[in-house]
Amino acid sequence: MWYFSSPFLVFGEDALDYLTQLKMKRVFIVTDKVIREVGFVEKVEQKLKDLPYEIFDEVEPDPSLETVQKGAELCQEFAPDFIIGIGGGSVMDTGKGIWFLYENPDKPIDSINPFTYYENFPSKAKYVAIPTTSGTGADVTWAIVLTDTAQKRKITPASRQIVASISIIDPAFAQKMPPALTAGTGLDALTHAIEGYCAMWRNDFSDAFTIKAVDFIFKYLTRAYQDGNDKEAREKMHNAASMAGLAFGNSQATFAHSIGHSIGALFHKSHGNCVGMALPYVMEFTRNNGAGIKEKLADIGRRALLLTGSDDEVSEELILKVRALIKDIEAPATIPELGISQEDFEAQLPTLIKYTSEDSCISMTNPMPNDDQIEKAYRYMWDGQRIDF
Amino acid sequence: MVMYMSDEWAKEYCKVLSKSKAYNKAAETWEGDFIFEAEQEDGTVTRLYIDLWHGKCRGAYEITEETEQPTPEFVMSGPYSNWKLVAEKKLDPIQGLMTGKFKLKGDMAKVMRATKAAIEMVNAIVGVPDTEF
Repeated sequence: MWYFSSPFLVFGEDALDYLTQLKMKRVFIVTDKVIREVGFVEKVEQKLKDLPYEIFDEVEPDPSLETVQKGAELCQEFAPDFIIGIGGGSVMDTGKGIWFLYENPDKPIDSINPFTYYENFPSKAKYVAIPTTSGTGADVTWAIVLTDTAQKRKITPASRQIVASISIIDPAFAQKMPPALTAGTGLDALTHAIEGYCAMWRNDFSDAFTIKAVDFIFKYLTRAYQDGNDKEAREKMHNAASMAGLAFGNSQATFAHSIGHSIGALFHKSHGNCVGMALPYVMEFTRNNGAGIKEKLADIGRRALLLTGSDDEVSEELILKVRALIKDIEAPATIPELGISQEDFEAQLPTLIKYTSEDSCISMTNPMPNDDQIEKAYRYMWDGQRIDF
Repeated sequence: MVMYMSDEWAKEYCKVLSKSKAYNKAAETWEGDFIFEAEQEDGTVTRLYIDLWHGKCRGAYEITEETEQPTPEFVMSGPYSNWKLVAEKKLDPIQGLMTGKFKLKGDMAKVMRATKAAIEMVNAIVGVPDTEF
């Protein structure tokens, strides 16, 4: 027995209009200042017309536990029946956290776990997630990535009950993404899709979303990167991001995410760039060491990219195609290209290894790397050397 | 041969855990004891106490009327048939917890921070030699 969790999905051109069909009374909007400045919040406000609403726009990149707590307190005072999170992954995750605390004020955010059933949740409000980037998949997943600022590390409370009630996947919001953000978020989506296919909890339903997501990402990411006004590419990438989110959200992410979370927590680098940089190295490591992973990677190559040949040949070609895509969209392919100095890297390497080793995604990796392998992988990612162990 | 989920098995499991370098490392900061509770088909319940501390197993035994009655930090319970599936590596216990095949009482957030140690605990279950079901 296993489950597949998903919000009600509204997608395509003018999907935002769906807000006018919802019977809302009071709306609490969670966002950040950039999203507000570019006019996206205003688009939502226009759909709300005369409804009372309040905006919490204090979400920061790598949102903290304190931000969620503050938003939840304001939400509690306002008492909405709908919460809308509009923004990137940080905003949508913060929205989930605020929603949970609004409904469960007596429970600390870091106590959220997948083994507990929260009675009568949700009962006060529905949560609508509106992604403005094409990559995080946070609109459809049931984890929250937050930063514990005191410990300087990321935590990922998770429960199937905190998956958004509705996800509005409107490609209009993706049009304004600059090329670097398009590249980073697109690689995040690719990492979700491929890791989701190789994770310990992969299943028939998550596999289906991986294949279509990988197909779309290879067809459309470079186009969206090169021409932000390419509407078809933007729409397909926006859909691909949520598909990849459904894939990994229901099967879990693995080693590349453990690396991404650790680098992100210590160096505050873009999540998409970090996991995208790590992806081909992790594909190589798991292909070389994980039972059945070479076959799974070959399966992705055949089904999504119509590659032909033996498992060895197709899995290798898929990895080379990932490396080529990273190059095509001018994304970082090594740790130095993330903008980390050798001095800082060496100084933080023991902590990077510790954080990676303790990250929840590591246990979903086939095989789970030990500390020596993690260190070696970091050194290969520093040198840009292909993983040969 | 040792009978799975028996007192003898618990003691062997404790040795395997303590000898496992992977578990020693993964659980080096773990402090917390467990009861594994297995409901047999005939309705009887077997309860094993496992005392875990900084990557080592400090002791384990089957709880009976004659033994101490510990109040551990965590109690993981489920039918014997599901425990058997775990030992045969046919059921991931975390998935088992999420789908109601097992129940866990205790500080869930603490467990969530120790998933790697939990996996090594399962690997050690599989590692007990000559287990009979």
